[in-house]
Amino acid sequence: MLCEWCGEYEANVHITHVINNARREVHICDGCAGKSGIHIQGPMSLTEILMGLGGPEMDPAAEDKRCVFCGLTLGEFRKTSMFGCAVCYNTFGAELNRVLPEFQKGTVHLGKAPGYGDASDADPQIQELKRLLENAVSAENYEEAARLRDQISEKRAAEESARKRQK
Amino acid sequence: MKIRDLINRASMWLGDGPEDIIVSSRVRLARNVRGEMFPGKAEEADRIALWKRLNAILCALPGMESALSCEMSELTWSERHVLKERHLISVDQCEKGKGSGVVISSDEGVSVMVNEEDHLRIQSTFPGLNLDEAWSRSEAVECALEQRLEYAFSKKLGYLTACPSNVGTGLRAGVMLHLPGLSLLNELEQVVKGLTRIGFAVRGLLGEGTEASGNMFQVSNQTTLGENEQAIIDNLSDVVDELVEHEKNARLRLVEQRPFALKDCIGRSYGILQHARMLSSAEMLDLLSSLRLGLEVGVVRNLSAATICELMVLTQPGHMQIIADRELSPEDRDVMRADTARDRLKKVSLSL
Repeated sequence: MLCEWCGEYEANVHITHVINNARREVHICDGCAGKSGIHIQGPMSLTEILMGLGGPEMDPAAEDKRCVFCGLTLGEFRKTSMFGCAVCYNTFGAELNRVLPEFQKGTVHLGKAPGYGDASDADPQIQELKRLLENAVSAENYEEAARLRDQISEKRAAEESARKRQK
Repeated sequence: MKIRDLINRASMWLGDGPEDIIVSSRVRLARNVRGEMFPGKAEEADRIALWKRLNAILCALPGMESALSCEMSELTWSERHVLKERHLISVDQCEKGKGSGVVISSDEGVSVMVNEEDHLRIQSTFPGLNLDEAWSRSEAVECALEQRLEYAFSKKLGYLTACPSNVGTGLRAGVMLHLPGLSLLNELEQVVKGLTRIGFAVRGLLGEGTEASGNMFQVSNQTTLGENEQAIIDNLSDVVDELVEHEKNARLRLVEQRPFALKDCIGRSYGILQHARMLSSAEMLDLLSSLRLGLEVGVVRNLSAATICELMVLTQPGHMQIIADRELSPEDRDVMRADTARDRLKKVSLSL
């Protein structure tokens, strides 16, 4: 059997992995395995995990699923493990979600966020208020700025308590 | 500042000597600019435009007034290798051309690669165990940039990166350790396997895809999503503390149980360094590793750890070509390397 990736050399690395109860086998040559960081008996590499994207009977049309912004296809992503743009995360979100837990500790960001370091500031409404606040400050319209500042704090507090309730 | 100004000083990445086992600490943040295609997909013209824009912003940041800024295509082979050898750019960035570049603070404490795998790779390196300082230095640059541009960010997934293995915090924290004791006792493989199992990556001297030379190993976090920055750094610190204990223990066992194996290794390395007329880069690093071990267990005299760190930097190919001010064949380099070692180590003695 020839290598599924390069089609040139004999496939002598055979990988079987099971994702969401779906089995997928990959048969590749030593060279391709080495190049993509696959080491036999080692932990699964990202490329291996992504090769499993979509399960064993993946619809060939799914391979051609294309990002509207940069034109990257799912097939290309599986080969390189690289997205072409930030929009790819939406385009291929469902596929990525399925494999994320295999190479990340969780599926939700818990670190810092742009703004004041509070994840709630990623909220588009707060972002918009912050933009208005900046405009008000640079126009020296301090009354308006104070009103916006209070509105931002209120929104943040509301989000915070909503988050606590969820927990 | 010019690249030539870098070569005669210690490299943050290779440490400055006083620490025994922990050589250096590094924090790297991956960020992308909202609305732009990632470097791997962007056209050359777009990459060039973005480099110009980001370079102007970076050079105007506080603390970056006298920064070294260069586009990769402007640099000679030796210059780009000097940056790579000092770990100011990655192996991948070293091969890049137009539209990719780097901006380095004059003290080398922070360097920002533009258009590597992501638009921005902000990294900070300090000698010894200094993850907190490396974190605050790189975060300061990251925050200052945030005032001047918008990052690609999603509330659920965090900072969006070209490879989903960096998504979330975009944070890779790494510590470089010198582990000759574990290596001499053949216990490294076991340690590396254990580390991999608990979610840490172990790499060689120059990062991804490089061999471990001179018993130097970088240990870094494997995952970037699902915990916050402080947790990532704390976990790494804990693991590093454990590794240091393992290494100390290995050295103790060598001294007590296998003194001749230890002294033989140090003595041979000393002999070769004193008399060899040609030394390859990898051999040099291995020999210096033994000498450093000898210094730390007290059998090498009249040598400072700083001299070892200096030799490690000065005998790398890029550095040697800049010092020689001409192109050197691999054979020329091996000769020059052995000459430099004999010269710097001539006063060293052993008490085996």
